[in-house]
Amino acid sequence: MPEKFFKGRKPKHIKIYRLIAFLILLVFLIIVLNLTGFSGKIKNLFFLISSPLQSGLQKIGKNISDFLFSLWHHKLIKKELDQAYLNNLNLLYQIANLQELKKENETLRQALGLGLEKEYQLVLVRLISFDLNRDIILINKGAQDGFVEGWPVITNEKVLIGRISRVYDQFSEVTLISSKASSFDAKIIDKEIYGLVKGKENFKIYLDLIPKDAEISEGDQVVTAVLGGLYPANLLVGKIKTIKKSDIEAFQQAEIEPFFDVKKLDYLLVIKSF
Amino acid sequence: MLKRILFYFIFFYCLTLLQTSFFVYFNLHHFFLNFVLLTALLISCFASFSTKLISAIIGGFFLDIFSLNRIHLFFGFYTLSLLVFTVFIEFVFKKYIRHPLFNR
Repeated sequence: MPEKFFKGRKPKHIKIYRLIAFLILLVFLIIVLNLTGFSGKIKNLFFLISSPLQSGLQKIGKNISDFLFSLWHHKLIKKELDQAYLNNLNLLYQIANLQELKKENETLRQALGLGLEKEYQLVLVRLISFDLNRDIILINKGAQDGFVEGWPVITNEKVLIGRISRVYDQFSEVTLISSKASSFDAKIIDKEIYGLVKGKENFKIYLDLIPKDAEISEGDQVVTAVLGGLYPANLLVGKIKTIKKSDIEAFQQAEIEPFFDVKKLDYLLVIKSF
Repeated sequence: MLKRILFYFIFFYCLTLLQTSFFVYFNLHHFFLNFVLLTALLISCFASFSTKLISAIIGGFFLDIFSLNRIHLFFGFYTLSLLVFTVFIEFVFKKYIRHPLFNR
């Protein structure tokens, strides 16, 4: 500010004028950064500098968290291990049956002249960081790799994570299915009951708009439906935890426990086309 | 002054990196504390006015950089919010609170 302006004024007032001028300048700078889209470039630069450090910190955090978890929940782990052993035996039996079915299916496809189901085009990405408010994650590929908004993101077990919501030069934001901004059509396996999966934040999701007469039970598995067109069909979403049924509501709701654990996310797959 | 700015820049940068990569693995029933915001708010209450301004701007800047959430509608949301909060707190403490802890 020109010295002439401050001449004859009290030091207290000068301090206030300077503060106001500084705030106006800051607001102007923020407006310019937003209008020109330069803020995205700044973010990209900081992500680029920070990503190696963040990867290291993630590994340390994961190891310490796993160690503490095993210390505090050793009884639970033992119980889960026993349960997993039983489940494994059951699954081995099912796999043996499915192998037979697969052979039959392949023979039938050949006989009918049908092509194999179109595979997804997948790109492997790595998780870089989490959002401060938690329902968005950052992955290590962006516009330079041809990424566009809307592509679904899954784990290698075909568990749905979310979709790309913003693309930077070398990074992309993925909005998790637990975000409040997320909603998509889903169905319950083997029951042909459809509903709308909505995010509740903090990694919580629920299935809404389930017909009142539909019979659902806890433990039912929810997968994506092709109706909305946002995601490919039959991606795993979660299993039903609790059911909320009310006489005054037209539909019933169910809380879903997602199949993904955000603590275990590391490498992910992005579906380019489906 | 420059030393203080550099100190807060490094401090908030490290805190933000820890927040976005390390503290994520430690939560209580999916409840997370935003340490960057909490620190900036605490400094806004107890430090001198110039320190408050520096911490609000730098803390807000890193919150804006590493926030991927759509809650803040534009880049600079946290910076402006923290600045407004700082000026408001300064005004309240100067006018209505007489205690050596808050009137530095």
